[in-house]
Amino acid sequence: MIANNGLPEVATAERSFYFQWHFLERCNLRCQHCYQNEYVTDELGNDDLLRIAKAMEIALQQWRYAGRISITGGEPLLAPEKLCLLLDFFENSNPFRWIGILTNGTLIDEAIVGRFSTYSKLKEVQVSLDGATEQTHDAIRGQGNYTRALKGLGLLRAASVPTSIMFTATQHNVHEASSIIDLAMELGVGAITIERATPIGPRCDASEIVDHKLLRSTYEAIAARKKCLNGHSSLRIRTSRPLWCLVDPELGGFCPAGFSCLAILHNGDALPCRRLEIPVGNILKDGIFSIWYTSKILWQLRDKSLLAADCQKCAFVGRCGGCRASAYAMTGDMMARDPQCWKE
Amino acid sequence: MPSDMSLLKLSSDYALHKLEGSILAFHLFNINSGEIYKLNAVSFAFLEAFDGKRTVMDILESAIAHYNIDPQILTDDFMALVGQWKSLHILVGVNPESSSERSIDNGFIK
Repeated sequence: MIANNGLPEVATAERSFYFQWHFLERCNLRCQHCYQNEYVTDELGNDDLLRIAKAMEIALQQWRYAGRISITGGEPLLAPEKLCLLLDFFENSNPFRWIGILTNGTLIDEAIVGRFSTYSKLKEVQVSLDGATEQTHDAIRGQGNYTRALKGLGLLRAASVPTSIMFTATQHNVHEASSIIDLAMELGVGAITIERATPIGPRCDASEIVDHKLLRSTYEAIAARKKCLNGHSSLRIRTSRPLWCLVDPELGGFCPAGFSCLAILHNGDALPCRRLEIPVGNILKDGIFSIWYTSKILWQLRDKSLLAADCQKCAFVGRCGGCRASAYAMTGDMMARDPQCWKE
Repeated sequence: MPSDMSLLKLSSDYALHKLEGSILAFHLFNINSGEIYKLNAVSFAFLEAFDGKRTVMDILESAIAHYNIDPQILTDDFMALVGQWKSLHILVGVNPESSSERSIDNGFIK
Protein backbone atom coordinates (compact mmCIF):
# COMPACT_ATOMS: atom_id res chain seq x y z
CA MET A 1 0.00 0.00 0.00
CA ILE A 2 1.27 3.43 -0.91
CA ALA A 3 0.72 6.37 1.42
CA ASN A 4 -0.35 9.83 0.36
CA ASN A 5 3.19 11.09 0.45
CA GLY A 6 4.23 8.50 -2.12
CA LEU A 7 5.83 6.14 0.33
CA PRO A 8 4.95 2.65 1.42
CA GLU A 9 2.88 2.50 4.57
CA VAL A 10 4.71 1.26 7.65
CA ALA A 11 3.47 0.45 11.10
CA THR A 12 4.24 3.91 12.47
CA ALA A 13 3.00 5.83 9.44
CA GLU A 14 -0.60 6.46 10.26
CA ARG A 15 -2.31 9.33 8.59
CA SER A 16 -0.17 11.89 10.32
CA PHE A 17 3.19 13.49 9.81
CA TYR A 18 5.47 14.66 12.56
CA PHE A 19 7.81 17.66 12.49
CA GLN A 20 10.34 18.42 15.19
CA TRP A 21 11.42 22.02 14.77
CA HIS A 22 14.49 23.33 16.57
CA PHE A 23 13.80 26.94 15.69
CA LEU A 24 16.72 28.27 17.71
CA GLU A 25 19.94 26.79 18.98
CA ARG A 26 20.58 29.02 21.97
CA CYS A 27 20.31 27.25 25.28
CA ASN A 28 20.76 28.20 28.90
CA LEU A 29 22.02 24.70 29.81
CA ARG A 30 24.89 22.49 28.66
CA CYS A 31 23.63 18.99 29.39
CA GLN A 32 26.03 16.06 29.20
CA HIS A 33 24.23 14.13 26.51
CA CYS A 34 23.12 17.12 24.44
CA TYR A 35 23.43 16.49 20.71
CA GLN A 36 24.17 20.07 19.77
CA ASN A 37 27.73 20.78 18.68
CA GLU A 38 27.32 24.52 18.81
CA TYR A 39 24.99 26.93 20.48
CA VAL A 40 24.94 29.55 17.77
CA THR A 41 23.00 32.73 18.23
CA ASP A 42 22.19 33.16 14.52
CA GLU A 43 18.45 32.89 14.22
CA LEU A 44 15.99 33.20 11.42
CA GLY A 45 13.77 36.26 11.38
CA ASN A 46 10.03 36.01 11.75
CA ASP A 47 9.43 36.07 7.99
CA ASP A 48 11.67 33.07 7.39
CA LEU A 49 10.19 31.22 10.36
CA LEU A 50 6.73 31.72 8.92
CA ARG A 51 7.93 30.64 5.47
CA ILE A 52 9.04 27.34 6.98
CA ALA A 53 5.78 26.97 8.90
CA LYS A 54 3.82 27.65 5.72
CA ALA A 55 5.89 25.10 3.80
CA MET A 56 4.97 22.48 6.40
CA GLU A 57 1.31 23.41 6.14
CA ILE A 58 1.33 23.17 2.33
CA ALA A 59 3.00 19.76 2.50
CA LEU A 60 0.35 18.45 4.89
CA GLN A 61 -2.43 19.84 2.71
CA GLN A 62 -0.95 18.21 -0.36
CA TRP A 63 -0.52 14.85 1.37
CA ARG A 64 -3.84 15.14 3.22
CA TYR A 65 -2.09 14.25 6.46
CA ALA A 66 -2.79 15.54 9.93
CA GLY A 67 0.20 17.42 11.29
CA ARG A 68 1.92 16.98 14.62
CA ILE A 69 4.68 19.35 15.59
CA SER A 70 7.07 19.64 18.48
CA ILE A 71 8.60 23.08 18.78
CA THR A 72 11.93 23.21 20.54
CA GLY A 73 15.47 24.57 20.56
CA GLY A 74 18.05 24.93 22.09
CA GLU A 75 15.74 26.14 24.73
CA PRO A 76 12.58 27.53 23.11
CA LEU A 77 11.68 29.69 26.10
CA LEU A 78 14.75 31.83 25.45
CA ALA A 79 12.73 33.32 22.58
CA PRO A 80 9.15 33.41 23.94
CA GLU A 81 7.88 35.88 21.34
CA LYS A 82 9.09 33.75 18.44
CA LEU A 83 7.74 30.66 20.16
CA CYS A 84 4.32 32.26 20.50
CA LEU A 85 4.47 33.46 16.89
CA LEU A 86 4.83 29.84 15.85
CA LEU A 87 2.18 28.67 18.30
CA ASP A 88 -0.19 31.26 16.81
CA PHE A 89 0.52 29.94 13.32
CA PHE A 90 0.03 26.27 14.12
CA GLU A 91 -2.99 26.94 16.32
CA ASN A 92 -4.67 28.52 13.30
CA SER A 93 -3.38 26.05 10.71
CA ASN A 94 -6.03 23.55 9.76
CA PRO A 95 -3.81 20.55 8.99
CA PHE A 96 -2.03 20.79 12.32
CA ARG A 97 -3.90 18.92 15.05
CA TRP A 98 -1.28 18.49 17.74
CA ILE A 99 1.36 20.87 19.06
CA GLY A 100 4.00 20.07 21.62
CA ILE A 101 6.79 22.09 23.18
CA LEU A 102 10.04 20.43 24.25
CA THR A 103 11.80 22.37 27.00
CA ASN A 104 14.22 21.93 29.87
CA GLY A 105 11.56 23.54 32.03
CA THR A 106 13.86 25.96 33.83
CA LEU A 107 12.45 29.16 32.33
CA ILE A 108 8.76 28.43 32.77
CA ASP A 109 6.97 31.17 34.67
CA GLU A 110 3.37 32.22 35.29
CA ALA A 111 3.35 34.59 32.33
CA ILE A 112 4.31 32.02 29.72
CA VAL A 113 2.05 29.39 31.27
CA GLY A 114 -0.81 31.85 30.95
CA ARG A 115 -0.07 32.21 27.27
CA PHE A 116 0.28 28.46 26.75
CA SER A 117 -3.12 27.87 28.27
CA THR A 118 -4.77 29.87 25.47
CA TYR A 119 -3.74 27.40 22.75
CA SER A 120 -6.26 24.61 22.30
CA LYS A 121 -3.95 22.56 20.08
CA LEU A 122 -1.08 22.68 22.54
CA LYS A 123 -1.42 19.12 23.74
CA GLU A 124 1.79 18.76 25.62
CA VAL A 125 4.68 20.61 27.18
CA GLN A 126 7.45 18.09 27.58
CA VAL A 127 10.00 18.81 30.29
CA SER A 128 13.30 16.95 30.32
CA LEU A 129 14.03 15.23 33.61
CA ASP A 130 17.12 13.07 33.54
CA GLY A 131 16.97 11.86 37.09
CA ALA A 132 14.45 10.95 39.72
CA THR A 133 16.70 12.70 42.21
CA GLU A 134 18.17 16.17 42.33
CA GLN A 135 21.67 14.75 42.51
CA THR A 136 21.38 12.72 39.32
CA HIS A 137 19.50 15.32 37.31
CA ASP A 138 21.79 18.18 38.28
CA ALA A 139 24.92 16.13 37.61
CA ILE A 140 23.72 15.91 34.00
CA ARG A 141 21.96 19.25 33.57
CA GLY A 142 23.62 21.61 36.01
CA GLN A 143 23.13 22.66 39.58
CA GLY A 144 19.71 23.92 40.59
CA ASN A 145 18.01 22.75 37.43
CA TYR A 146 16.10 19.87 39.01
CA THR A 147 14.30 22.29 41.31
CA ARG A 148 13.69 24.70 38.44
CA ALA A 149 12.31 21.98 36.17
CA LEU A 150 9.99 20.69 38.89
CA LYS A 151 8.81 24.21 39.60
CA GLY A 152 8.07 24.65 35.89
CA LEU A 153 6.12 21.41 35.79
CA GLY A 154 4.18 22.53 38.84
CA LEU A 155 3.18 25.79 37.20
CA LEU A 156 2.03 23.97 34.08
CA ARG A 157 0.04 21.45 36.10
CA ALA A 158 -1.57 24.22 38.15
CA ALA A 159 -2.80 25.83 34.94
CA SER A 160 -3.96 22.47 33.55
CA VAL A 161 -1.51 22.63 30.66
CA PRO A 162 -0.87 19.01 29.59
CA THR A 163 2.61 17.86 30.54
CA SER A 164 5.01 15.02 29.97
CA ILE A 165 8.51 14.05 31.03
CA MET A 166 11.39 13.05 28.79
CA PHE A 167 14.03 10.89 30.44
CA THR A 168 17.13 10.32 28.34
CA ALA A 169 18.86 7.21 29.62
CA THR A 170 22.66 7.07 29.84
CA GLN A 171 25.06 5.11 32.02
CA HIS A 172 24.76 7.93 34.56
CA ASN A 173 21.04 7.75 35.19
CA VAL A 174 19.65 4.49 33.84
CA HIS A 175 19.44 3.13 37.39
CA GLU A 176 16.67 5.68 37.99
CA ALA A 177 14.60 4.73 34.96
CA SER A 178 12.06 2.97 37.12
CA SER A 179 11.91 5.55 39.89
CA ILE A 180 11.36 8.34 37.36
CA ILE A 181 8.02 6.65 36.67
CA ASP A 182 7.12 7.01 40.34
CA LEU A 183 8.14 10.65 40.23
CA ALA A 184 6.03 11.20 37.09
CA MET A 185 2.97 9.79 38.88
CA GLU A 186 3.69 11.86 41.95
CA LEU A 187 3.94 15.00 39.85
CA GLY A 188 0.74 14.16 38.00
CA VAL A 189 2.16 14.47 34.50
CA GLY A 190 0.28 12.88 31.64
CA ALA A 191 3.03 10.88 29.99
CA ILE A 192 6.64 9.83 30.21
CA THR A 193 9.07 8.85 27.49
CA ILE A 194 12.16 6.91 28.46
CA GLU A 195 14.58 7.04 25.57
CA ARG A 196 18.21 6.09 25.21
CA ALA A 197 20.78 8.76 24.41
CA THR A 198 22.51 8.84 21.04
CA PRO A 199 26.24 9.60 21.23
CA ILE A 200 26.43 12.53 18.84
CA GLY A 201 27.19 15.54 21.01
CA PRO A 202 30.59 16.89 22.05
CA ARG A 203 30.14 15.69 25.63
CA CYS A 204 28.51 12.35 24.90
CA ASP A 205 30.64 9.53 23.52
CA ALA A 206 29.94 5.82 23.28
CA SER A 207 31.03 5.27 26.90
CA GLU A 208 27.93 7.19 28.05
CA ILE A 209 25.62 4.84 26.23
CA VAL A 210 23.68 2.12 28.00
CA ASP A 211 25.00 -1.26 26.86
CA HIS A 212 22.61 -3.72 25.30
CA LYS A 213 22.31 -5.99 28.35
CA LEU A 214 21.45 -3.15 30.68
CA LEU A 215 19.14 -1.63 28.10
CA ARG A 216 17.28 -4.93 27.83
CA SER A 217 16.78 -5.28 31.58
CA THR A 218 15.72 -1.62 31.78
CA TYR A 219 13.19 -1.99 28.99
CA GLU A 220 11.87 -5.20 30.55
CA ALA A 221 11.39 -3.47 33.91
CA ILE A 222 9.62 -0.50 32.30
CA ALA A 223 7.41 -2.75 30.18
CA ALA A 224 6.42 -4.64 33.34
CA ARG A 225 5.59 -1.37 35.11
CA LYS A 226 3.56 -0.29 32.13
CA LYS A 227 1.51 -3.49 32.29
CA CYS A 228 0.95 -3.11 36.02
CA LEU A 229 -0.14 0.50 35.66
CA ASN A 230 -2.44 -0.16 32.75
CA GLY A 231 -5.91 0.87 33.89
CA HIS A 232 -4.69 1.90 37.34
CA SER A 233 -2.94 5.16 36.51
CA SER A 234 -3.51 8.03 34.12
CA LEU A 235 0.23 8.09 33.36
CA ARG A 236 1.04 6.94 29.84
CA ILE A 237 4.44 5.29 29.48
CA ARG A 238 5.51 5.73 25.90
CA THR A 239 7.22 2.76 24.35
CA SER A 240 6.70 3.36 20.67
CA ARG A 241 10.25 3.28 19.38
CA PRO A 242 12.48 0.49 18.03
CA LEU A 243 13.64 -2.39 20.29
CA TRP A 244 10.63 -2.20 22.62
CA CYS A 245 8.93 -4.97 20.65
CA LEU A 246 11.74 -7.29 21.70
CA VAL A 247 10.44 -7.23 25.27
CA ASP A 248 6.77 -7.21 24.31
CA PRO A 249 5.52 -7.71 20.74
CA GLU A 250 2.66 -5.32 21.45
CA LEU A 251 5.06 -2.45 22.10
CA GLY A 252 7.37 -0.48 19.85
CA GLY A 253 7.26 0.58 16.27
CA PHE A 254 9.32 0.98 13.15
CA CYS A 255 11.52 4.06 13.13
CA PRO A 256 9.56 6.76 11.28
CA ALA A 257 12.68 8.47 9.89
CA GLY A 258 12.25 8.77 6.15
CA PHE A 259 8.58 7.78 6.33
CA SER A 260 6.56 10.19 8.40
CA CYS A 261 8.78 12.70 10.16
CA LEU A 262 11.31 15.40 9.55
CA ALA A 263 13.49 17.42 11.90
CA ILE A 264 14.22 21.02 11.04
CA LEU A 265 17.11 22.97 12.54
CA HIS A 266 17.46 26.63 13.46
CA ASN A 267 18.70 27.58 9.97
CA GLY A 268 16.12 25.59 8.02
CA ASP A 269 18.34 22.55 7.47
CA ALA A 270 16.38 19.31 7.50
CA LEU A 271 17.42 15.99 9.05
CA PRO A 272 15.61 12.64 8.80
CA CYS A 273 15.55 12.68 12.62
CA ARG A 274 17.20 15.11 15.03
CA ARG A 275 19.57 12.40 16.16
CA LEU A 276 20.44 11.22 12.66
CA GLU A 277 22.73 14.05 11.70
CA ILE A 278 22.79 13.71 7.94
CA PRO A 279 21.41 16.89 6.35
CA VAL A 280 18.98 16.16 3.53
CA GLY A 281 18.48 19.77 2.39
CA ASN A 282 17.29 23.14 3.56
CA ILE A 283 13.61 23.95 3.73
CA LEU A 284 14.12 27.59 2.71
CA LYS A 285 16.46 26.86 -0.17
CA ASP A 286 15.20 23.52 -1.45
CA GLY A 287 11.60 23.26 -0.27
CA ILE A 288 10.05 20.34 1.58
CA PHE A 289 8.83 18.53 -1.51
CA SER A 290 12.21 18.51 -3.21
CA ILE A 291 13.82 17.18 -0.04
CA TRP A 292 11.15 14.60 0.61
CA TYR A 293 10.99 13.26 -2.93
CA THR A 294 14.62 13.41 -4.04
CA SER A 295 16.88 12.90 -1.03
CA LYS A 296 18.92 9.74 -1.55
CA ILE A 297 19.35 9.45 2.22
CA LEU A 298 15.60 9.42 2.76
CA TRP A 299 15.08 6.84 0.00
CA GLN A 300 17.74 4.64 1.57
CA LEU A 301 15.97 4.82 4.92
CA ARG A 302 12.75 3.73 3.22
CA ASP A 303 14.34 0.68 1.64
CA LYS A 304 14.24 -2.11 4.22
CA SER A 305 16.26 -4.32 1.91
CA LEU A 306 19.24 -2.09 2.73
CA LEU A 307 19.05 -2.89 6.42
CA ALA A 308 21.79 -5.07 7.87
CA ALA A 309 21.39 -8.80 7.28
CA ASP A 310 20.75 -9.35 11.01
CA CYS A 311 17.76 -7.02 10.86
CA GLN A 312 16.38 -8.57 7.71
CA LYS A 313 16.46 -12.02 9.28
CA CYS A 314 14.78 -10.76 12.43
CA ALA A 315 11.12 -11.61 12.92
CA PHE A 316 10.51 -8.07 14.18
CA VAL A 317 11.91 -6.22 11.18
CA GLY A 318 8.47 -4.97 10.21
CA ARG A 319 7.85 -3.45 13.64
CA CYS A 320 11.33 -2.45 14.70
CA GLY A 321 14.20 -2.05 12.27
CA GLY A 322 16.39 -0.62 15.03
CA CYS A 323 17.35 2.98 15.60
CA ARG A 324 19.03 4.36 12.51
CA ALA A 325 20.47 7.30 14.44
CA SER A 326 22.20 5.04 16.96
CA ALA A 327 23.50 2.87 14.14
CA TYR A 328 24.91 5.89 12.34
CA ALA A 329 26.38 7.50 15.44
CA MET A 330 28.11 4.36 16.62
CA THR A 331 29.11 2.67 13.36
CA GLY A 332 29.03 5.36 10.67
CA ASP A 333 26.53 3.26 8.70
CA MET A 334 22.93 4.33 9.14
CA MET A 335 21.62 1.00 7.86
CA ALA A 336 23.76 -1.09 10.22
CA ARG A 337 22.35 -3.24 13.00
CA ASP A 338 21.28 -1.12 15.97
CA PRO A 339 24.35 -1.39 18.26
CA GLN A 340 22.10 -1.56 21.34
CA CYS A 341 19.99 -4.41 20.02
CA TRP A 342 20.33 -7.47 22.23
CA LYS A 343 18.65 -10.01 20.01
CA GLU A 344 20.87 -13.00 19.15
CA MET B 1 5.24 7.42 -38.58
CA PRO B 2 6.05 10.91 -37.23
CA SER B 3 9.57 12.27 -37.57
CA ASP B 4 9.84 14.32 -34.41
CA MET B 5 13.52 15.16 -34.02
CA SER B 6 13.05 17.41 -30.99
CA LEU B 7 15.04 16.85 -27.83
CA LEU B 8 13.04 16.70 -24.64
CA LYS B 9 13.86 16.10 -21.03
CA LEU B 10 12.08 15.95 -17.71
CA SER B 11 11.33 19.42 -16.39
CA SER B 12 13.39 20.45 -13.37
CA ASP B 13 10.05 20.78 -11.56
CA TYR B 14 9.74 16.99 -11.60
CA ALA B 15 11.57 13.96 -10.23
CA LEU B 16 11.11 10.33 -11.17
CA HIS B 17 11.49 7.51 -8.70
CA LYS B 18 11.32 3.76 -8.93
CA LEU B 19 10.53 2.07 -5.63
CA GLU B 20 12.01 -1.41 -5.52
CA GLY B 21 12.08 -4.16 -2.96
CA SER B 22 8.95 -5.79 -1.62
CA ILE B 23 6.85 -3.11 -3.31
CA LEU B 24 7.53 -2.18 -6.90
CA ALA B 25 6.11 1.24 -7.65
CA PHE B 26 6.81 4.06 -10.05
CA HIS B 27 6.26 7.69 -9.20
CA LEU B 28 6.57 11.10 -10.75
CA PHE B 29 6.88 13.87 -8.20
CA ASN B 30 6.33 17.58 -8.72
CA ILE B 31 8.90 18.97 -6.33
CA ASN B 32 7.30 22.43 -6.30
CA SER B 33 3.63 21.67 -5.84
CA GLY B 34 4.11 18.32 -4.15
CA GLU B 35 1.78 16.48 -6.53
CA ILE B 36 2.40 12.77 -6.91
CA TYR B 37 1.62 10.78 -10.02
CA LYS B 38 1.61 7.02 -9.89
CA LEU B 39 2.99 5.59 -13.09
CA ASN B 40 3.02 2.16 -14.64
CA ALA B 41 6.30 0.59 -15.65
CA VAL B 42 5.94 1.57 -19.31
CA SER B 43 5.18 5.24 -18.62
CA PHE B 44 8.11 5.33 -16.23
CA ALA B 45 10.43 3.81 -18.83
CA PHE B 46 9.26 6.30 -21.45
CA LEU B 47 9.74 9.30 -19.19
CA GLU B 48 13.11 8.08 -18.01
CA ALA B 49 14.23 7.81 -21.62
CA PHE B 50 13.82 11.54 -22.18
CA ASP B 51 17.36 12.50 -21.24
CA GLY B 52 17.66 15.55 -23.51
CA LYS B 53 20.14 13.70 -25.72
CA ARG B 54 17.96 11.32 -27.70
CA THR B 55 15.30 12.67 -29.99
CA VAL B 56 11.64 11.78 -29.65
CA MET B 57 12.07 9.67 -32.77
CA ASP B 58 15.06 7.80 -31.31
CA ILE B 59 13.10 6.96 -28.20
CA LEU B 60 10.09 5.85 -30.17
CA GLU B 61 12.22 3.57 -32.33
CA SER B 62 13.79 2.04 -29.22
CA ALA B 63 10.33 1.45 -27.81
CA ILE B 64 9.12 -0.21 -30.99
CA ALA B 65 12.15 -2.49 -30.92
CA HIS B 66 11.64 -3.31 -27.23
CA TYR B 67 7.92 -3.89 -26.91
CA ASN B 68 6.08 -6.63 -28.73
CA ILE B 69 3.22 -4.37 -29.77
CA ASP B 70 1.86 -3.35 -33.15
CA PRO B 71 4.17 -0.44 -34.15
CA GLN B 72 1.30 1.77 -35.26
CA ILE B 73 -0.59 1.31 -31.98
CA LEU B 74 2.56 1.94 -29.96
CA THR B 75 3.39 5.02 -32.05
CA ASP B 76 -0.08 6.45 -31.56
CA ASP B 77 -0.04 5.82 -27.81
CA PHE B 78 3.52 7.07 -27.41
CA MET B 79 2.92 10.30 -29.31
CA ALA B 80 -0.30 10.91 -27.39
CA LEU B 81 1.54 10.49 -24.11
CA VAL B 82 4.40 12.73 -25.18
CA GLY B 83 1.93 15.39 -26.29
CA GLN B 84 0.18 15.21 -22.93
CA TRP B 85 3.42 15.41 -20.99
CA LYS B 86 4.54 18.40 -23.04
CA SER B 87 1.26 20.20 -22.50
CA LEU B 88 1.59 19.59 -18.77
CA HIS B 89 5.22 20.85 -18.91
CA ILE B 90 6.41 17.56 -17.53
CA LEU B 91 8.64 17.27 -20.57
CA VAL B 92 10.39 20.40 -21.77
CA GLY B 93 12.47 21.16 -24.80
CA VAL B 94 16.25 21.22 -24.79
CA ASN B 95 18.37 23.48 -26.94
CA PRO B 96 21.04 21.12 -28.28
CA GLU B 97 23.67 23.87 -28.23
CA SER B 98 23.10 25.36 -24.81
CA SER B 99 21.31 22.49 -23.10
CA SER B 100 19.15 25.10 -21.42
CA GLU B 101 15.45 24.49 -21.06
CA ARG B 102 13.30 26.18 -23.68
CA SER B 103 9.60 26.55 -24.03
CA ILE B 104 8.15 24.33 -26.67
CA ASP B 105 5.31 24.58 -29.09
CA ASN B 106 3.99 21.68 -31.10
CA GLY B 107 7.09 19.68 -30.35
CA PHE B 108 9.51 22.21 -31.82
CA ILE B 109 11.90 24.36 -29.89
CA LYS B 110 10.95 27.99 -30.12
